[in-house]
Amino acid sequence: MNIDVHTLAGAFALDALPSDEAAEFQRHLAECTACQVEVAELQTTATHLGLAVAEQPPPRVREAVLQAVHQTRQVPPPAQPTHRRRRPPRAWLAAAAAAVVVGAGAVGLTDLVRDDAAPRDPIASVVAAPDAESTAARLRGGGRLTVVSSEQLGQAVVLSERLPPAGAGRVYQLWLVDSDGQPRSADVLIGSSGAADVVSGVEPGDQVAITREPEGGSEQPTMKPLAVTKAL
Amino acid sequence: MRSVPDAAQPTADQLLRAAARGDEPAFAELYDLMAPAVFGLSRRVVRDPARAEEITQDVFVSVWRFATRFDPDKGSARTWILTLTHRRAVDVVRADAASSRREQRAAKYDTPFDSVLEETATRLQGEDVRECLETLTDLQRESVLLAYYGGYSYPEVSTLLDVKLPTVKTRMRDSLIRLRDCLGAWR
Repeated sequence: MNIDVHTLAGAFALDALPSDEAAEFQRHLAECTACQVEVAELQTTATHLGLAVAEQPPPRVREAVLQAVHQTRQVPPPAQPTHRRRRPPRAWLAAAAAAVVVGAGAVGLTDLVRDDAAPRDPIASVVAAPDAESTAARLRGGGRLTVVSSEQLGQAVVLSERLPPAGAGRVYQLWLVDSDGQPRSADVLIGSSGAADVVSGVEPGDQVAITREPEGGSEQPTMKPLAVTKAL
Repeated sequence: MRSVPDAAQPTADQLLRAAARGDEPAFAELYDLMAPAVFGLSRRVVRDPARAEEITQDVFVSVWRFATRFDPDKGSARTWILTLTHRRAVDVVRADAASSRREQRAAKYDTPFDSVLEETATRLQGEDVRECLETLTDLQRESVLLAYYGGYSYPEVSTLLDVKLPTVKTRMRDSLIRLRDCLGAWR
């Protein structure tokens, strides 16, 4: 175990890590069961500090919350494993089977997210989210896509590395693909390799796909995806 | 379903699980139970009551939306909600600091740090928390309070307390562990 990383558990539980170290710690956390237990304990301890400064909010907050809640749909619960049967992928996705899913794991996040300024940028917020998970896939033809997503935030950070040049008048475009295999544009166009982009409106069951499209992007993909990886 | 030992006073965990099934009255009860902590903590970190109200509202709408994903095996509902609250509040503070830097103003926080410490000491509720904080060394206590209530990052805390970065990191962990043991927070 990396002793130095391990000592970050306290600062992490206090949300006191700058974004790059939060990302590093989050990665370490995914692989370190002892750290997960420690962080859970220290967050429980921090909770007592929060409870100790309780203060009654004005009644208008309650009204606003209950009214908003009345009009807000809840995200679906995770299905029990026995019911979790994979839907047969539709044609568009099936073609991407060639794209190798690398699976969850460590990636060079810190290189891309490095930002020594203390404030959290949107990328760092996703990476540091308590429920952040990462997956990765290689693109047909080269390059790699890494997705770090947070269900609580409904956002994903998509890191693209070593993409081959898209070609004249072409860009890479990201898609969110729902569990029925329907793609919708993630409104992210990538011109060059080494980009980190935040995708919002990610729903449970979504996958992230990437294609090459004419400059300016397309409404619907014009080619089979170069890679697909799970988002949520 | 688990039987409820005291139906008159359900716990946050029970209320959150009921809310996950779309039970709005249970959610309203959860709000009543947790809103003071959510609002109080937000206000302590961001200072501005209007921002604290916004955070409180955001947090509870998120709690409702994601109630279905709450996993009691990973921690209590109270911890889930207050962890979310603290993170939101810190994000707000840091985003404000970033935008004021962009405007080329000095990146100063509204409150001098000694007032964070002072106010905290006088206003903390809960004998147990106050007593346990007393068992820490000054450096341990200040590191934790500045990070948690001040919303400062550990490099900022290191500057404020004029101690080395690794020392601050270690103190934050030490002191939370000591608090944990003192509070018996974890059975």
